[in-house]
Amino acid sequence: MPRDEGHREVAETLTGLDRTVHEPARLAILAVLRGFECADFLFLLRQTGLTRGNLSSHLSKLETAGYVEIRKEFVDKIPRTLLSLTEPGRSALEAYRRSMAEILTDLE
Amino acid sequence: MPGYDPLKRAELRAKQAMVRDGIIEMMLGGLLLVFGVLFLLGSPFAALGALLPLGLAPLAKWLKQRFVYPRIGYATVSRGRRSIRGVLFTVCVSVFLLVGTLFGFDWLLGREQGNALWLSHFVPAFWGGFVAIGPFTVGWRLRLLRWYIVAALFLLGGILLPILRIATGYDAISLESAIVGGLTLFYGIGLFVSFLRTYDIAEVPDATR
Repeated sequence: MPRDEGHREVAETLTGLDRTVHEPARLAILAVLRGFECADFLFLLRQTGLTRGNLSSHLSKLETAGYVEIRKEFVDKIPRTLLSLTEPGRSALEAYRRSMAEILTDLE
Repeated sequence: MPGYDPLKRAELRAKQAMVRDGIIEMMLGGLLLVFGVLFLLGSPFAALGALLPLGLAPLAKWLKQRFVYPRIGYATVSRGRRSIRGVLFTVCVSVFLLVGTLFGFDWLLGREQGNALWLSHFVPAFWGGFVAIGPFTVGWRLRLLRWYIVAALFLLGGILLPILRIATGYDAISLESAIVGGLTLFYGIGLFVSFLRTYDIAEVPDATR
């Protein structure tokens, strides 16, 4: 494939990236949640290193996109918010991962 | 960097954080230590060892809820059918191997000598290898060196105790379980204390409420 054509494909793939996933903080959240059935807010806070407000804001965006499910439960009368990756969220993350791998391969 | 995957790395680090508290080491070490001591005392006591996991599971859960979750948060790893099938497969293969080797020893050395050597040398080594599967799997999945070391200790203990004539047969199994279990327990306690010192209880951080 000619070099220009390869770069045009890279550019097209880049512009087609899912921006909800592409943001580094949200990507970190999704990457952590990927390995778990569910996790609470504190766990994500510790693992991502984000501030509470930042984490909360990104979680809201991910919930709006349907990538993360937020549910609340009580353990010994103490409320706990549990977060889990939804199937669309898992698919979006995998699609993003594949796209980035293709882009990096094409740029080499 | 070839083969470097930041997404997998983030997932792995999060999983490693779940075992940073040393509770699994304490439970495994405590279980084997008590089992080893009961086994040394004689068969009626050894039967009690089978009941130990029933008591340790609630204790581990209590420790997690009381000390760990308030510090680093709560997360559960998804356990697929594959892991249950893997455990069942491993147990079946192990039992088959254990019985199969008994016939092998008998066939090669004759019934009396074969049985004696199988019990004195092979069974302790087999036990060491069998117990090592768990720590090795944890070490491999979480890329944690300390679990490889625990696995190596079990494997080597089972092989070396009879060869060095320190103990053979059931005595070797008891001694190995007690020694390696004790070491694992103390290491786990050290990790737990270090964990408590490192992480303070978080203030109510749940901003999504």
